[in-house]
Amino acid sequence: MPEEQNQESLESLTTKSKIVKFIDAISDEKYASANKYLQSAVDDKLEDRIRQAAEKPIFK
Amino acid sequence: MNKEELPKEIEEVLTNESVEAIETAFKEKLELSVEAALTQQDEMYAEKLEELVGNIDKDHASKMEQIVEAVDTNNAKKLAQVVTKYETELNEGAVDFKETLVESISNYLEEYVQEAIPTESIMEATQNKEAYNVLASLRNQLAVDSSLMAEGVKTAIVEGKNEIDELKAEIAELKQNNTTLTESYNDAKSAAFLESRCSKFNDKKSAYLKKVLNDKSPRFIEENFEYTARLFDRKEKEQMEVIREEAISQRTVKADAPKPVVVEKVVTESAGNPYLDGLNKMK
Repeated sequence: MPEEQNQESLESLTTKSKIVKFIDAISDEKYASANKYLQSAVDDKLEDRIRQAAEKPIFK
Repeated sequence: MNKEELPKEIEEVLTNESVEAIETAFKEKLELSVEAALTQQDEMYAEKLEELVGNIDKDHASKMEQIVEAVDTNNAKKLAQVVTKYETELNEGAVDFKETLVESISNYLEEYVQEAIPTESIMEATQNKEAYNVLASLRNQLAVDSSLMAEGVKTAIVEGKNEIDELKAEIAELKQNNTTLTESYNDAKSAAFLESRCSKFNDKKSAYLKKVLNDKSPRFIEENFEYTARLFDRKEKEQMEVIREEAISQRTVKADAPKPVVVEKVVTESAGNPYLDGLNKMK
């Protein structure tokens, strides 16, 4: 249950908020959380790029 | 001391031993006196020194207290400045630094993702996936599965598409013809309607009505014909009024002339005056 809540909260955060939480986790030496937030931030960046690419029409 | 140094009277009385004893006693007395004086002087000096040391101590203590107080005040002031500076840095500088750091990390991640997976690759993969989805959707729409993807089916689809294109072109041509015919029909209908309604009017009114309503639709003509005719009548009336006024203002007949003569003269004048002829026609 806590993992699901954590997952939901991760999805609701913006990329910048995730980076902020990543820095906080690093400062508190919570490396597992830091890894989770960083991974999520990288995923967001990738999703943005894919979304931008998908918006371009394939038949011009 | 030698005995010879004493006066002669004393020299005779005192022996050498006595002189020496006196001298010894005198020296002892002198030493004792000197010692007592020195002791007294020491005591006096000791007292004065103690007093002096006490005063110096008091002075130094008060000065030290002042110095300690001044140092304390100065340090407290500096500490307050440090606290203020620290709080400012913590509240503003730290926030700025955090934002800058977040921005830097975000940019770094951006660069890292760009380097690890180039945009071109993402574009290619996305387009492949999208094309695959489009094709799958088309196959569903056209009910073409793998068993129907034979050459014959493709040819039939291409022929069907060509036929649809030809039919579309034909429909467009027919639509254009229909539009032209409808316009011609409307024009003819308008002309016939105008002709039928204008036949009972004179040439001038008829020409005016045709000029105004010629390029209008039949419905418009039907709705506005009476109004246009009334408009023409009103204009004609106004023009005639103007002509009559001008004719009256330009006539040469006097108003107070005898009636029979006036009648005759009027008849004579009206024969040559076009304005009065018009006026007579109006009557």
